Amino acid sequence: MAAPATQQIKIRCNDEKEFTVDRDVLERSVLIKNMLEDVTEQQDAPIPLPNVSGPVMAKVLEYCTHHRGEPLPSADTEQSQDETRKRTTDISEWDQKFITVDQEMLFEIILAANYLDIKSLLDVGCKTVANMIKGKTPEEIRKLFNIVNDFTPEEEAQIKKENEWAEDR
Amino acid sequence: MSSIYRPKVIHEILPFEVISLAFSFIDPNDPESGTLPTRLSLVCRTWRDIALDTAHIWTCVHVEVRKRVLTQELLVSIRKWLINSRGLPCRLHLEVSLRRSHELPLSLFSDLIGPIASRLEVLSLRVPARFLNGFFEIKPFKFPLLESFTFRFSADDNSPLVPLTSLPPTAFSESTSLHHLDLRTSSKLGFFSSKTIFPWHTITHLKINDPTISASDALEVFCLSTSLVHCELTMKGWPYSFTPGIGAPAPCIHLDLQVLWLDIPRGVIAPFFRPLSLPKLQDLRIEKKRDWGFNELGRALVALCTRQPIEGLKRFEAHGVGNSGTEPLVEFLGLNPAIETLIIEA
Repeated sequence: MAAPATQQIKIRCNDEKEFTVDRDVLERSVLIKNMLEDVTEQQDAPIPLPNVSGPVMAKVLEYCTHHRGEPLPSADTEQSQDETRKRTTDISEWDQKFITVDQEMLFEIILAANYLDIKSLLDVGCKTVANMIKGKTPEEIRKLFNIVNDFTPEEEAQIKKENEWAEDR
Repeated sequence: MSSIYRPKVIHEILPFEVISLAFSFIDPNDPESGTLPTRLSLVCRTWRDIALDTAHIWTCVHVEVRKRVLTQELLVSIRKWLINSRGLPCRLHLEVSLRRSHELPLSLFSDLIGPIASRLEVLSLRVPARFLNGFFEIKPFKFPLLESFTFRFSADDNSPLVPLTSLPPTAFSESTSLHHLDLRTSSKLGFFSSKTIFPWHTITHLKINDPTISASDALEVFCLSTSLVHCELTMKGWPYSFTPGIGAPAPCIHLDLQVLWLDIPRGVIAPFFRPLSLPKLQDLRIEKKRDWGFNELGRALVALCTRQPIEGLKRFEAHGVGNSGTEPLVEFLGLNPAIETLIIEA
């Protein structure tokens, strides 16, 4: 017996780039899943995604296709995970390879994951940023992200003085 | 016409809550991350605001007051740090030398721990004895979330005080998750007579270095700790008069016994082991400062094995065994063919 055909859904990005994707892949996004559940009749018009560009969506779909079929976190598990403080920056091998992109694309993927509500992808992006920050001095962090130091020397000295005891280890 | 192009920086692209999420993935308990909140706060004003808004990164305090004096100002700074953790479970490691803390009122120490006692997961104190006495005298704190408790005298504190005997019996009564207990004390007059202080049955990792504990008390605590996986006991002599009604299989995998001071008369080691049943033991280490002789040691170990063979014992170390007869030890090794590492030191 042939497997039931998977419903195909069209999406359109902000640069008019269109994708036709299996419904279960797209439903990794809570935003799109809710949209599809709200639509009672089958529509041929693509779902507009005004906050995501074609190239970024292509990366997001690569991620969603790889992780299709994996259980989605329920609202309860998300909350309990937020409450537990024991987080790590561990990233699986495939995800690590997937997220090895330039900084601009990394931020775009994070933004897309946040907008589309794909928690696991948002976590992978944020863990990557966390790994970039870990072990770096403020000056190294500024250089990494092109941040300008807007503290006065007095303010900087004050912050250092307040927490200097934490350096004694 | 010229224009200056400045690329957008991370906090102009990503929402603050997303950057905060990234911060919160960094483990604040990692020694490398110890100064994380300070480093993030020093990047720029925006990052300072986001850091102050990310409670997770402020949940670990590690203070070693060796170079500086423990002052009221310092304690205020630590309190401010912990306020930023906004009620999340937290960890406190405090190391204070005696000579750096003489002038400080005990109430300040109490003020530091009191407000966070109910959300402490890890409390590690290497402090002068009077501090521990002090904060419990002021208020009977409870530690319902505590998973690990370390109490060690400051290295320079030779205080004759007996701090743990003054612990109120209810202090750890709600600590149902307490798994790690590490005590370096000088309890002298029967700390272990107050056996209800700690929920022994929840302890999986136990380390007691108290040269004043009688071996009977130490062994009794060992037997009460029915979940024990890793145990290091330093005790005074052997339990000459220990007659427990126990013998249920203990889950202990690693057992390290160090015996101080007393000579061991013939025939007392075997009774020490006989009540124990350690079917899961993989790693056994015994150290005695003076000669106890292979015969004694061997008889003890045979006693241990004949009760219930330790099939999985992979590593055996005995230090200070002397140089007398070896027959019982050979018998012991015959009963434990799985031993891969054997270290015997005279």
